[in-house]
Amino acid sequence: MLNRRHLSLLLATGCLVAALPAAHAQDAYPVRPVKLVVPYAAGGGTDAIARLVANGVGEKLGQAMVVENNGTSGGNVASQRVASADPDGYTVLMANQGPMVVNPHLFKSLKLDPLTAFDPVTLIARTPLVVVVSKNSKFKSFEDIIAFGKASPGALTYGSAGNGSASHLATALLLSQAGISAVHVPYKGAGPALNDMLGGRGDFMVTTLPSVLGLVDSGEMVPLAVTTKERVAKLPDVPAVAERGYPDYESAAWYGFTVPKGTPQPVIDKLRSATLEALATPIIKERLSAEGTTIVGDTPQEFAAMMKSESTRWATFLGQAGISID
Amino acid sequence: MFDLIGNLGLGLAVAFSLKNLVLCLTGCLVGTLVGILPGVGPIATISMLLPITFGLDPVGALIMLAGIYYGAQYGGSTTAILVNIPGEATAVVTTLDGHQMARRGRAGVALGIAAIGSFIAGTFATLLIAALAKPLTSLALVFGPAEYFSLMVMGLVFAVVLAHGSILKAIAMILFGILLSTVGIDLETGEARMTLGMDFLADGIDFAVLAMGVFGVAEILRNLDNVETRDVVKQAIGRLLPGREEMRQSAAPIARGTIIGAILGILPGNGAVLGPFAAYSLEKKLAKDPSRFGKGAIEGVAGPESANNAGAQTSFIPLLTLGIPPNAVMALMVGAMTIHGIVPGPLVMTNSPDLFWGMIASMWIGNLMLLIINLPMIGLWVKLLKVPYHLMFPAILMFCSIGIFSINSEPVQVLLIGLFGFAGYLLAKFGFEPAPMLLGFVLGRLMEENFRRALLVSRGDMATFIESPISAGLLAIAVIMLVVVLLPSFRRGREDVFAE
Repeated sequence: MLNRRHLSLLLATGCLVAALPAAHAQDAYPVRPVKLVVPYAAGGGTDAIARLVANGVGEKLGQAMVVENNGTSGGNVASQRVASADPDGYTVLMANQGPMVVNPHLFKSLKLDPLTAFDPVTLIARTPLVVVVSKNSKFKSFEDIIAFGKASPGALTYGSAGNGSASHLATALLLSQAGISAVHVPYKGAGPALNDMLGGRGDFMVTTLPSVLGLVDSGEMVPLAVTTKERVAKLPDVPAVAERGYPDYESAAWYGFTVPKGTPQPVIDKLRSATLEALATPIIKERLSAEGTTIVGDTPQEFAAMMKSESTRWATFLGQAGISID
Repeated sequence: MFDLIGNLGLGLAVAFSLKNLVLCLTGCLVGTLVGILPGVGPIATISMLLPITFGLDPVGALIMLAGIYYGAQYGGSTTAILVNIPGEATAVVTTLDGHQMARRGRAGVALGIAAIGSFIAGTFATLLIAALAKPLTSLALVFGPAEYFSLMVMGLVFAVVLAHGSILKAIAMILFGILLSTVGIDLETGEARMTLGMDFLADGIDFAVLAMGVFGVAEILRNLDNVETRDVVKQAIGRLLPGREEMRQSAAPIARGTIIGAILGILPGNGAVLGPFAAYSLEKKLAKDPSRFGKGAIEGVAGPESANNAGAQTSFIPLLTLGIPPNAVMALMVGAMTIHGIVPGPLVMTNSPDLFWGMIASMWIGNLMLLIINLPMIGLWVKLLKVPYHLMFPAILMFCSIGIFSINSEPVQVLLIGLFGFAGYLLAKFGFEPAPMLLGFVLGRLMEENFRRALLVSRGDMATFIESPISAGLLAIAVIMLVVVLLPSFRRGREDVFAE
């Protein structure tokens, strides 16, 4: 039921939208609602995780954490906006692969360097991607796809959640390591792409586990491999790509919090500890693991190091593969 | 059949708990409110209210969120009829005759028939979902890019019929709409097209921005132009509810609209937007005197409004049976399910039958509630029309601006409605209608996307569009329609057919 806390949360949201008072006094942080900018439109996988975690973090901070979506230009508008916001802890970016480590190498026009423009707070969670085919597919194993790709170059078709999405890049990386080619059909999000895969209008797709879990559970889609180095608890019988002849292959979607460069350390610490507390609550734990997402909650240093190595890895790959967006 | 009754019984038992009834009512009321406020759409509302549902159980949360969605469809028609602003793509055609009825003092009748038609359509669609959701899912799956493209071509041919002025101007506006829809980042290559280097155009022009501008703001400018012909009616308001004769006139359009809307609503990729357009074109074609359309024909409200609501309900099918959202609102519902610990997919029906059937039953209850809420409100809405312009216009502008800002928190978008408003004003002055442009805009994007996708899958072979029987059939209908539309103009001169 709607209780007073929820109502005050709603009112707080209203006030935030109405007027953003100038910020100071970091010692009392937070004295007003904190804005969490999600670099995707409302309704996707990242958005769902952001809203779930934001609710918990808000509770721990004692101030609402309000989600704001802006998916314009692959998330670049959102990341640029957060980067140029006041470094006071009231504007947080839901940081993930695209805007943080891929877009700088993908969009030639992007001036922002996310590795220097943000202070990392913590990596929240990681999600594996899965190679899936429809249940009527002629491919029964991961090796089947690779073998067919080698025998008939260019005959394979794969769907993705969009140009430059984790889904697209994980597939492109896989194809390049396997030395095969396939035609890329981008969609707006994983949903419509899965719809066409189900209808038999594509050979395979690499997509995040949460986006396809329901269809895998019911047997409509068959998982052939996971993109993490290790197997995934949700799908213990499904091999990792790495154990099928591509030991270097790894790809995962991840979600973290970053704040504008120059945010005071006490503020970052407070935000991080609230986030870790929230991640430890049973409800968030339960719901994230139900969709196959692993909770992390590391230190800012570990998060920064991870992003740095990811950024280097994607820069090399995108450069070699010649994938770019003007 | 026995199963169906048992399942619906379970659903009704879930939906009829006091808590869920209250949540359903709350959703419907909030939905009606955001539907009425121009610009504030169900997407912004649902995402804002999502945190409030954390304390609820999943069934209650989804019942409330669904209520917001179809409540907004009801509310949207009210704004379209009263002040000529379509809040959503599906309400565009309602402005054509609905607002004309209002100008002729029949606002109450228009609102009444919209509510009644929506209720009948909602009831039928709910039964359809309950009985045939599973088999209908396969319909969604046979619809691939090629079929989709052909459907859009057919839709655009319909759009020509929509126009009641010059056919040449209508075609020009459709093409202009398609052109506007190509602004933004190319889905396949990632190339920015016609963005003039501006980031906010990267995702293209938002439908709400365009609609608010060319309908809302342009309408206000036009009214300021000439105080005598005020659009928002001054004269006698007339009867509040449709009479027996009006019900008789509307019965067949409601039935046809319901069926068209229900079928198109099932399709992936937001096929529901086509429903009202198709229903309107069909009614105009079947009418003995098509010239009445655009001047306040009740069939032009009854058909599309039924189609609109039927489509809103049946678009839940892919969500409920596959966990695949056909539009942005449904994507939010998927998010809501995930947040409440439910994995959306085919197993929802077996794993959480109370959720599945409870939601379906609540849809019907929600529709009934909306009818009960809306009919007595008509008197109030109609009185709103008497609010003087110097109060009403600033209020409309304010709500439009708030609504647009809520989409992406992007101030430039708010400025854009002013630009489109001015453009819409000029177009109206020169006798160009905005409705075909909006249709071209909505369909253009889907059409291009699916055309190129179909060719990617077929490796560039155009035959893909006629190899699929569904696609070939749709294209054949489009050609026949085009011939039917163009033939009389060869024989008798176009003006007789298309002039008002």
